[in-house]
Amino acid sequence: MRNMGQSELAEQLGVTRQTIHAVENGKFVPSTLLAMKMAALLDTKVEELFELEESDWKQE
Amino acid sequence: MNNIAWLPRATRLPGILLALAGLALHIGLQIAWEEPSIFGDELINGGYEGWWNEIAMTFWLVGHFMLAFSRFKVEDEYTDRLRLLALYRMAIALTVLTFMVIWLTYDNFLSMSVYLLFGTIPLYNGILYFQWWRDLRTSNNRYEEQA
Repeated sequence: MRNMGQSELAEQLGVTRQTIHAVENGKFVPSTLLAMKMAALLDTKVEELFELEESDWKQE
Repeated sequence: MNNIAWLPRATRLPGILLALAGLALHIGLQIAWEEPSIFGDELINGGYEGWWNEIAMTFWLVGHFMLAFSRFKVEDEYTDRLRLLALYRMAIALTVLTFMVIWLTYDNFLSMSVYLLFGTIPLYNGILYFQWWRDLRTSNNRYEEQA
C-alpha cells in the first residue's frame, strides 16, 4: 500500500480533506466509486481498506 | 459526475445578503407601519401601499434560491451532506425562533402561522430543490441512463 497524506489523497480524489478524515474515523461511509478510487490511488484493494463490523449488520 | 461549471460562481454571499436585506426591509416595514405608526397618525393607511413588501419578500425568496444553487455548496459527497444537515438545523432553529418572537410580540398563534408561511417556506423550498438537484447529479441516480 502506498503512503500518502490526507491532503494529497484528498487532492487526487477531488474531495475535501474533511471527507478523508471522516472516512478514516468511521464517521462517513463513502460511495462505492470513492472507495474504489481510494483503493486504486493507495495501490491496494477495497477489502483491505474497509471491513464489515458487527454493528454494520444491525438495522437502523 | 461533478460537472457543475454552469452554476454561478458566487451566489452564496450575495444570496445571504439579498435574503437578509429582504427580511430586514420586510420587518422594518411591518414595524414602521403598525398602528400607531412611528411616522405619525396622519400616515396610517396613507403612504404604505404594500408592494414594497412584495419586493422585500422577493429578495427573501430569490436570496434563498441563490443560496440553494450556490456552487460552493457542492464539494463532495460528505460535505454536501454536512451542509444539508446545517440547512435543516437552520430551518428548525428559524421555525422555533419565529414561533417565540411572534408569540412574545403578539400573544397569539394566528398571525404566527401567517408569518411562518412567509418565513420558512422559502427555506424549505431551497432545501428541497437542492436535494432534488443533488440527487439528480449523483452518478448512480441518472434516471435517463437506467431506462
